This record gives sequence, structure tokens and C-alpha cells, in this order.
Amino acid sequence: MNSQQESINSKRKILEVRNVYRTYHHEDTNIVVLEDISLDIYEGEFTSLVGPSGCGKSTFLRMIVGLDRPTRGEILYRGEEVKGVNPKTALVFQNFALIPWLTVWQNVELGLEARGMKKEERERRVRYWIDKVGLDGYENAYPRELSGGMKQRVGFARALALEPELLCMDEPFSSLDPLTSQNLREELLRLWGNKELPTLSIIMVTHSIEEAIFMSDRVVAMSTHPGRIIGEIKVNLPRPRNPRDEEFQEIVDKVYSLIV
Amino acid sequence: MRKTFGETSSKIIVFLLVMALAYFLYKERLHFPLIPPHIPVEFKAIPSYALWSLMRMFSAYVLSLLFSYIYAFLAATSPRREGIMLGILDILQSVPVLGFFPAAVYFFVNLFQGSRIGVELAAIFLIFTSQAWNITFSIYESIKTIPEEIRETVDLVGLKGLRKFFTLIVPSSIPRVVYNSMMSWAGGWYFLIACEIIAIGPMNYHLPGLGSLLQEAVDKGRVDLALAGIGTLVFLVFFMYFFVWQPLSFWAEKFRYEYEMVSSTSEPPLTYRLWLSLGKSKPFIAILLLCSRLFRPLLNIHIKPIPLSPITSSFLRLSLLTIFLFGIAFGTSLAILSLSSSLLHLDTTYILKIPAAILASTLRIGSAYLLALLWTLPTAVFIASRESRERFFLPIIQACASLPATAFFPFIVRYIVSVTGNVDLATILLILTGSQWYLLFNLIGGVKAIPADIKQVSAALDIKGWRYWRKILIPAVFPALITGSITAWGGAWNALIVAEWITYKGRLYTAFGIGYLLDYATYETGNLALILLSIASMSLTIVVLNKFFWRKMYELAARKYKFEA
Repeated sequence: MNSQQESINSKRKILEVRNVYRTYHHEDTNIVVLEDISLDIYEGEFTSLVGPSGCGKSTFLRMIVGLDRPTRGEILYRGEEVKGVNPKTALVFQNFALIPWLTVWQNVELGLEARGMKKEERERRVRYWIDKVGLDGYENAYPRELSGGMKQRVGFARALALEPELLCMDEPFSSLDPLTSQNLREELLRLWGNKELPTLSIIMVTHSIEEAIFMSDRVVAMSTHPGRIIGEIKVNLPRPRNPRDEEFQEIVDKVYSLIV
Repeated sequence: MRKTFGETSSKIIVFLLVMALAYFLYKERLHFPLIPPHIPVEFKAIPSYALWSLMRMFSAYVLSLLFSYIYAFLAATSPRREGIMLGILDILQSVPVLGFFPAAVYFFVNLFQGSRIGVELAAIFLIFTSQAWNITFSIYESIKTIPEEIRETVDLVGLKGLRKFFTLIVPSSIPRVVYNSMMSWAGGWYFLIACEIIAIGPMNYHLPGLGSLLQEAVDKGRVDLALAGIGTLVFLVFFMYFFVWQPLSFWAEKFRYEYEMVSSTSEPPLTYRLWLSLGKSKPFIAILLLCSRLFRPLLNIHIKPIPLSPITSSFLRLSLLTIFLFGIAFGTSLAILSLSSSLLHLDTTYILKIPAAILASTLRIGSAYLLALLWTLPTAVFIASRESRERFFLPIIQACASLPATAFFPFIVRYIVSVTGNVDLATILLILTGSQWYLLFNLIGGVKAIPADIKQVSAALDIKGWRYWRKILIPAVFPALITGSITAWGGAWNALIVAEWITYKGRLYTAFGIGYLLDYATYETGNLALILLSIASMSLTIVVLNKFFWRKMYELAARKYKFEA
């Protein structure tokens, strides 16, 4: 099913990153966070960026959604340069970024009203995504009453309610315990595989190589100081994948040898 | 290098602004005769006086909130504005507010041609200056500490303008704003009582209110009436505390981010539940719905910047800057002119008195501070060492601390000064009442923050009594002690102005000090140079003490006596 999806869509580029640099000034010195990054993202593709902490992968993700701008080079979304927040994208955060005084429902609804959506449409959409991510019955709960896993479900619902073409995730499972995170991973992959997501492509940033290989079609490895792309590896294993498989382990070894 | 240049230049601009402002405030003497309204001193007038006082407090508070949100938002959202706006705020905060009161009276009374509105506005302005700055700082701090991810989320989902302001900025500020509002109301009562009777030189004006009632009653020897006035005040303050601030503080916890959550979930206070049931009643909900319906369209307003060509916009910016600088230059030169004319009449013996006056005042504050320390430290240890005691005593102490010390001034004067004839003792007591609470609250916080394992270790090692105080307790509360001391001294400098110059039954009692000199300059001479000189030397003393003593102690505390988080 997945390979079918790929063959239909893979030709259309959704995002083009060309020779992007990002530097910061700190006490009269320039710190190069990202150096000469070039990357294409295609429709129907699940891409992971892996690398040690401090390699600038989160910064890169923020430039893609338009929260940050490159110092040099350009980022094109469907051929147009990204200037400012890109409404066709959404971001899922490592620490959920839920607003504590809003209920689950209000957190999911947050962006819809600002986009001028009618009340009925808003309610339909919030209800739909709360159902989809399994938050039924928690509509009126506040974030602090939820477990970490439930919080990240709200994070996903909020991002997906915006119906983004490109979903970006910044270490979305890193703050969760192993069992919870594995559940969430599988659920997300199920939605993605059944084409229940409005999303055409996903970019995930992670420091876990196993997670990247478990989930994505393509793993892009980055090095640190400065952050650079040092190679990429396609993952053509059928889903659901089993990390104990020999083939899976071979890919893990390949990525490790790239990074170390 | 460039940064320090920017800082100094912004400080110079601020200084010039203050000078220009001072000039305009003092420029003209009163042109209009003031006709004091008849203030009947009787029991049945008390409710209306209480209402008047509350009205003044409330207006000043609303003004403070409006000012604080706008100012803090502007300061926190642009690095270019941030430096200079914070600098101005810092100066405003360290200038003794009461010193500017006569100036404000002149200004407003002239503006409204001697009518009562002018005096009312002057009083409200003074209360405003005592309430606003800490609220402004707290909002600024709240905006600055919004977690990065939350900020990004709000930007990503496209919240802008007023909608962003009301979904993110206002709620984020609520916990700090509620806490500081409580403080500000306490400070506001203090000044309200002090400023309802205005006597500057020939001018004597009473505003109807609890403060003027208290002073009049004591002046006339009507102890019964004075006690009734105090009773009303105590009732108001306690009512505000238990019915407004306590439930609000509980409610405000909802708006904290998770990283700053306190682990223990305390019981909602009774009054909170009361409000909650009121909030669920039908008429209340109807009103709420109506408000939200009226208010909602406002959220969709986006102020779009008018597209200007770069030339026009830079021209506009340049001309605005020119006008601004011109205004400053104009004000400053006028100020210098009038200063030099007042310098001609300058009494040099007065200037020579300033160092001695500052020394006398510092010693007075020092002794009041020692007295405060003597009772607050043991009390703090007693209260904070057990949770049941804290639950019982803390609300009571908080309510007591909101009682304005100025309300007791007439009594202190009557029963200490006129009996013992010693002004110094009364002055020290007055300073004490104006500063001790800051110390107590900070110390309670400090004792509470001693980690449990440290206590267990000292119990296991059998460290008790004096040894425990010397080795564990005092070093442990040292950082809190310093923070509390800084605020206590700040409060003391302000109290000085009302404490060293006391009129009672038409007789003047003074204690020599910088507060006395300032009052003398304003009330007796009206000489601008002397007034500015007194305020400046007082502010300078405060700044120097803060910078070279308290700051150093603070750094020591942070370096040596801090528990690792």
C-alpha cells in the first residue's frame, strides 16, 4: 500500500531547501549552526532527520515552518520562498506546548478561530480530530490533568486540526515513556498508512536512529558543529516494521556508520 | 562597547526627561484659591467616606493595570525599546514617590483651575505611582518567561494582535499580576491615607475619605470616631483580602505553566467556592455571555500598518525624533533657567545640612530595621517551621500587612509624641510600620525553602539551639533576608517623608533628616533647586546603597548560600 502511494506521488516536490546556512552572533563571534543544507521533500514521503543533540535539526525544522529564517540560502515551499509562518505546515513539539489554562477542546481549536473558520465547521473539525487521536471524553480536561501520552495526543490533534500538507515533528516522542511512545508511534503510522491524515508529507526530527528507521521512508543523517547533512538512507522495509529483524538491524548499522 | 554607550545615553535622556517633567510640575505656583469642602467629622459620614476612599483606590488601580499592560507589552516586544523603557521604570521605582506629591498637586490643581477634581486627580495620581511599577515589572517578567514552545505554537496557528494578547499575554501574566496587585493595594492604602489631607504652605485641602476622617478625629480628640474609622478601614482591608485576593490567588494558579507548578495542591478557600457558586448562577452567566458577545468582534480587529514608502517613513521618524528632542531641550533649558533663578535665592546653610540629614535618616532607618529584624526572624521561624501554623497564621498576617501603617500615625503621634515629647521614637516606629512586613514575608519564604534533607541531616547530627541557628538557619535564609531587606529599606525611605514631618493639632513635630529637609523645602520655601536637590540626594543615597551594599550582599547570597535546585 505504501509503495503504491509512493509511486503515484513521489515525483512532486513539496519542499526544496537550497544551500541553507544559519549563523548566530554570540559575544562578537559567529556560531555556525547549520552549514550548506540542501534537501528535497516529496509528496507522500515520511522523512526523518537524525543526529546528535546540538546539530541544529530543531533550528532547521523551525525554518521550514517559517518561525526562523536562514542566514543564507533559500527554502522553497511549492516553488515559493518561505517568508514568515507557513499556514500549510504544522509543528508537533517535544514538550507538547499546550496552553495550561485552556481545555483539551480549546487547545485543539486554538488556531481554527484565528483562521476565520465558522463555528459549525470548527466544531466538526475539533470533534473529528479529538476522536481520531483517541481523546474521547477528555474534551473538558485541562492539560495538567492528563498523562504525558495524552498530552501529546492533544499536541497531535492540534497540529492535525489545521490539516497541514506538511507535518513537522520535533522529537515528538522523546518526553514519553517507552511503552506510551511506542503506542503513539504505531497509531500515527496507522493513520498515515490508511491515508486518514490530510497530510501529504511528514518530517520528523529525532535523536533515535531506531525510531527514525521504524517510522520513515528516508533517514537523513546530520553531523554536529556545524550541522551538516552527511548522508541519507532509504528505508524500503514493509510496515509494520520489526526492530529485531535482520534487515532492520542492517539499516541501523548503516546509519550508525554514517554518524560515528 | 556600543551597548554601554546606548545604556548611558538612554540614562541621560531619562534624566533630562525627569528634569523637564519636574520643571513643568513645579513651574507655576497656585493661581487659584482653594476652597476646602466642609468635612463633617461624624459617625454617619463614615460609609460615604469609605466609598470615596475605595473609589480613589479603584480608579488608581484600573489606571495602573492599563498603564502596566501597555508599557510592559511595548517594552517586552522590542529589544530596541526594552533598554530605555526598563531604565525609565527603574528610575521611577527608586524615586521616593511621596517627594513628588506636592508637585503633582500643583500641576493638577492648576490644570483644573482650583476645583476639587484637580485635587482628586492628584490623589489618584499619587496612589497610581505607588501601585503601578511593580505590576508593570511583573507583566514584563511574565511576557519574558512565556515558554518558547508556547510562543511558537501561538505564532504557528496564526494568532495575532488583540487575539494573541488576550489568549496568551494576559493569561500568562495573571499569577504574577494577582500577587503584585495584592501588594499594590496594600501600598495604595498607605498612600491614600497620607494624601487625603493636603497641606502645602498656605494650602490646606481635605478630601472626604477615611484618611482625612482619621486625622481630623484624632486632631479633635474624638477617639471614638477615630476608632470607628480604623474599624471601617480594617473591615475594608480584610474584606478585600478574604473575598477578593484570596480567591483570586487560588484561581490564578490555573494560569501557571507546568514548570513553575507547586507540587502541593492546596484546598480552595471558602470564599473561592462562594464565588464559584455565584459564577454558576443564571443571571451571572447571562451577563458573561452578553459581555463576550459584545467583546468578540473586537478580537478580529487587526491594525494593519499603513504602507509607507521608505522615504516617507524615515522622514516621519526623523521629524518625530526632532520634535521629541526639541521638546526635551526646551523643557531642560526652561528647567535650567528656573533652577538658576532659584539658585540665586539658595540658602547655602541648607545644602550644608544635607550630608548630616542623610546620615541621621540612615541611622533612623537602621534602628527601625534592626527592631524589625529582631521580631520578624523568630516569628518567621516559628510560623514557617510547621505547615499547620503556616496555614493558620499566614492569611492573618497577610491581611494585617495590608493594613496601612499611615492610619495609625495619628495615634502614634498622639500617644507617643505628646506624652513622651520624643519625636525620634515615634519616627522610628512609623518607619518600622512602613517596612517590617517585607522582611517578614521574605523570611517566611526563606525558612520554608530549607530542603527537608538538610533539616534531617542536622537532626541526625544533633545540631540544635544556637548552633542550629548559626550553622544552618541563618545561612539558609540569608538570600531571602537580603531580598527582604532591600524592599524593607525601600519602604522605609518612603515612610521617612511622612515620618520626619508630622503636624498634629496644628503643631509641627519634626525629626531632623533628609525627609525633614525635603518637606521643609517643599512646604516652607517652595524653592525648586532645594526640592530637586533633596530628592536627588535622597535618590542618590538609595541608589548608592543598593549598588554598593545590597547588590554585593545579594551576589554573595547567590554565590555562597544558595541551595542547588
